Amino acid sequence: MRDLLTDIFQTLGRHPLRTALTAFSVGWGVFILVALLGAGVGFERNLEHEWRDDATNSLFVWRGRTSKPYQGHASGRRVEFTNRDMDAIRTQLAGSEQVAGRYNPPTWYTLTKYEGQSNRYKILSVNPAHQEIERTEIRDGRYVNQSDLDARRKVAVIGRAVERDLFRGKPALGEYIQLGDMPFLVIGVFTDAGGEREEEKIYVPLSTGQVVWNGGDRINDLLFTVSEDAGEETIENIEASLRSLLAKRHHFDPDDRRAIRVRNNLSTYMDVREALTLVQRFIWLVGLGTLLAGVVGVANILLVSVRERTPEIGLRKAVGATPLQIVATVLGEALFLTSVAGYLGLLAGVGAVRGIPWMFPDNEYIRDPEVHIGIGLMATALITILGTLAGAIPAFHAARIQPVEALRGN
Amino acid sequence: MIRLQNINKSYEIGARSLHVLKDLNLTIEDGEFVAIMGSSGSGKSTLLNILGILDTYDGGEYHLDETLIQHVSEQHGAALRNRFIGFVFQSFHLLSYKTAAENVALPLLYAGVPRAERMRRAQELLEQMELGEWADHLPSELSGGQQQRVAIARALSTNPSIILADEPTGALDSATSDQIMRVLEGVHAKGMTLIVVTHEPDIAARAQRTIRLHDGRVVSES
Repeated sequence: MRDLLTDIFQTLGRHPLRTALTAFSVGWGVFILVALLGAGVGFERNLEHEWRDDATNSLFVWRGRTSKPYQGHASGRRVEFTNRDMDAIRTQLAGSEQVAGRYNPPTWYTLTKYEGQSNRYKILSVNPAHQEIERTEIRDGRYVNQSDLDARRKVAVIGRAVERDLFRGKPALGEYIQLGDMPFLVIGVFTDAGGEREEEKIYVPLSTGQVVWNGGDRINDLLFTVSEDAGEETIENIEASLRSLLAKRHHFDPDDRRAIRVRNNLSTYMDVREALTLVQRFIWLVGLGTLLAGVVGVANILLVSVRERTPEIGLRKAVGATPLQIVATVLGEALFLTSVAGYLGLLAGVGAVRGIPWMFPDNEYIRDPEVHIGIGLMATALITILGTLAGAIPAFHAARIQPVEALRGN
Repeated sequence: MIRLQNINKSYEIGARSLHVLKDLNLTIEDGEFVAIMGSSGSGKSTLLNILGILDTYDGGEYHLDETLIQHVSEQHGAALRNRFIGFVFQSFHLLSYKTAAENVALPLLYAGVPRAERMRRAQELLEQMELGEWADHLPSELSGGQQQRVAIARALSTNPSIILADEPTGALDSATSDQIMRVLEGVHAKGMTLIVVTHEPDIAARAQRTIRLHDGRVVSES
């Protein structure tokens, strides 16, 4: 074994530049494969992160304007939701689970004051089901509950950013803030995985908001979840039923896509995932292609090397080397070259992937990229297999060299 | 002992068949020093290849130390060459990137001898060739005569039955040729069977016996 390694080192060492360039092509192939796959993991994690603050098994419904005349109504009519639509979805739409409605004050941002500080925030009047659909995390206190709604309490759940900016580090829980000109008791502080923008909101009970901002029983947006296990098809069926239910209630054409707007989170999520899967397949294709080019290079160089060493191989055979021993030397060279270069490429790839967050700290596309141990093992296996393949043809050529011909003349 | 009986060998060249050795008979005793002469095309290279188990033959029998050498596989041929035959070539055929000692030890590697033992034996043989202090030098640092002596040491390393030397002085000047022939004579004096293929009469004259080949047959022995 030691003799085999010595032979391999000596042979490769005779053409350092050639060896280095060949090794580089293999190393580069592995590097590209590993770095791209690592970045791919980052893309995927970023996607998961972006969707963390919304339940993927949820549907959002916004009001729209009709675009088709229907049952004697002209087109261009505004569809308005009320509390009764919320009840209808809860009771008449098969598959709906948590149903939430929200009512926004007529002005998007409402002046909010605490002692000397003031700022404008987005206020949403919600019912308790809204918490799960938006995946709001309560840090202090509690969320809006049913008795708040029943008693139309003037209470508020504020985002972490609101507390930070208005209260300047003081705990907000139990304090009163002014929303417009009404005092509201802070009963909770929340965080949201969606980040800063989501944490600049204030939630108040739906019934309270409807009274304070003259909403009557109107609702702006309807949100509801369906079963976690619902597949894409189920959700699409539910969306269709929802459209016909609301069409009947509000007298618009069920095929009028503009009367209401529906965002089906699961379908959108699935579409993005599908795109990601395609990207990952493409990454494999590109990575493997580059790696293969490197391996072909190794095979090529070894063929040249075997041809150059024809007299040497002939002599080795004359003094007692068996074909198998000759094959072992050439295969050994291929394996040594590809594995050393491959591991260096793997290390460089891991390094590059580790370096992404450091080089691009604030990028919005890649999050926590990582080279999975599985990818590492797979790359290692690939290197070994391809290395053997790269050596096979030259080794076969070497084994067939006849000493008589190799030793003839000079 | 080498015994060739009715050896025939033909090469297919395209559609033509070239009959190179024709019912060749030859016996070489243990410890003999034999020269083989013949013009090019006489079949002497083919004979040497058959003797060296580097080539097969079509008919007849070749006995080497009472072993019938016939229909040997590549694998078995390699083992037989390693055990029975030491080669010396006109152009030395030393591996340029290995030291003199490593070159000498190469056949021992394929004989499965451990490294330390190989290197010890190589050093010993190089000292016999008066090249002891050149053991760690590369062939390119040696003169032609020194290189050929390294090659002779290599041929002796597995302690074979015969040494086959193919024009061993063909690439050397006359003074060096003489020196090499004296080394080979020394090897022969210790009891080794020595077969030298040459076209130089003064080299052949140093052998105990000269076998002349013509057109695939032995035409004279003297």
